[in-house]
Amino acid sequence: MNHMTTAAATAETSDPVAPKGDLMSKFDDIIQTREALLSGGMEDPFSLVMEKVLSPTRAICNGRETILLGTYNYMGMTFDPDVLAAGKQALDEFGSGTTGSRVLNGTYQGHRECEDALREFYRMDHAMVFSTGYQANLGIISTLAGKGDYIILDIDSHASIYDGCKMGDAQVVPFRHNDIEAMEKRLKRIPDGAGKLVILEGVYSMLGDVAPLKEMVAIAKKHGAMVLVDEAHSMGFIGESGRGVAEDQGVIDDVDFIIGTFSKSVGTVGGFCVSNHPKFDIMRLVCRPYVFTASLPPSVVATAATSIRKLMHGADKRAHLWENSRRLHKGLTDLGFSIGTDEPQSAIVAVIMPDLERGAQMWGALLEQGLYVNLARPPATPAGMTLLRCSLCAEHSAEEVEAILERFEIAGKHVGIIG
Amino acid sequence: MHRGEANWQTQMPPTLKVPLMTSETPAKNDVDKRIRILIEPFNKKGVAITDSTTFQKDLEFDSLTVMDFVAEIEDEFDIIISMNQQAEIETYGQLVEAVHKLRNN
Repeated sequence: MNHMTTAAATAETSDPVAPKGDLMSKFDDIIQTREALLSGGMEDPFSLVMEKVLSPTRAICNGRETILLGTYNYMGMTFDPDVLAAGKQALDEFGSGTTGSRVLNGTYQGHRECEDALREFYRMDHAMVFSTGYQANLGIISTLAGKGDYIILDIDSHASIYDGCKMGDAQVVPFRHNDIEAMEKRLKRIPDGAGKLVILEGVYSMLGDVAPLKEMVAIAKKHGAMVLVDEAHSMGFIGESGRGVAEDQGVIDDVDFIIGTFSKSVGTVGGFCVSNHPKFDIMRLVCRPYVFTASLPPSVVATAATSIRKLMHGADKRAHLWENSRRLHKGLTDLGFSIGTDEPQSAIVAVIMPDLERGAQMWGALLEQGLYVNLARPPATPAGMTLLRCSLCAEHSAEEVEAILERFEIAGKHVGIIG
Repeated sequence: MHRGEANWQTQMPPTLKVPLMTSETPAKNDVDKRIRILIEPFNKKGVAITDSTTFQKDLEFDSLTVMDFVAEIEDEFDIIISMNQQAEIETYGQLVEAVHKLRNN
């Protein structure tokens, strides 16, 4: 603090908040944007506290009962009695944590059972559980594609995918979002003999749109590339048995690696990769984000395993979640809001805001009405958009969806986004 | 590899630059000419483009514009400019140089 005030006093021409040599000064623009946003007296959209959580769809925020429409709790498993019982039992029998790496003292019976549940769920030969979904992408991508290899990926890929690419040091070749032709053009230009990994997502989380996996996976295979699909936002919900977009489009057997997470439909935390590759198990020894971190606590893998097994039989919940998604999409469209996709394609309905300022106002107005949604803004969003992302839950009742629409109407008129 | 190339370019003494460029001139001039046509629709403010024009500061390209512009160049010259290579290209001159080299590879 001292040197900052000195710098401000002595260097009149330079920026007072950016003394020479301060590595934090590169964030000044973000600090200023944030301060401008908050100076109007509105609540910070990025530091909301949930004081109590009542159910997968309800919490107390600022003392007010709030409908949750911005979580990734798609299948509403977080308060499932069987899931909770499994977690409590594991806590009692195995303790609060493993205090070790998966490859040393951190693999308990529960970790094996969790991987068994995943293999059964996906009907695949191998499953590997990571401590988070982020680490699953980071680890698998950086270990598979190294120096001299090529990664061809959708420009709108998640940050964990980009970070995995960077860590592995492969040549990264992006193509326009969901553009089949652009993908193929780039695949054709890759030098002969180079290793190729195509990375796609089932559902892209910002707009909630689905990838044309059927066409893209076929083209990748035609050009001799391996294929990795991140199904984080589709597991449990999309596809006949909830195995994701690759299952839904009939190409799951051609996908070499599926990445997923426990922090969405499964309802806890953790990440995984499943594969039929005969050599897959060696990844446990060569994948650094798997080796050099502590394994998940026993209670977490127990809740995950129980939840995954229940998701196999979640057809009714899936049907209800689709109803919710269709109703919300239609209702918001009818109210005059602009939505990220013309048709509902997933459990995410993204409402496009005219700008960050009004997006933040709308977010605050909804919260005052007792509705929590996700405010998303650049650089997380494509094309510099500000979005209010609604992610539905199978536990939202039809009445709750109607209440959500009413609140959107009131807030939208108040902020002046709809007429 | 590409990092090395960029260093080589910036470390070159100015006196050496002239003869080397002369030997490369026809092909490189062609690359320059074609990129100038491609950049036109992206140069919304009509900035005068020289070798030292920067994409981020002078032309104010955001990440989406970069992607579209790079895709046009890739299609025009049938090459790949990976993100790793893009990270080393800050100025128009560096871009022409990089495309010229990628075509010869």
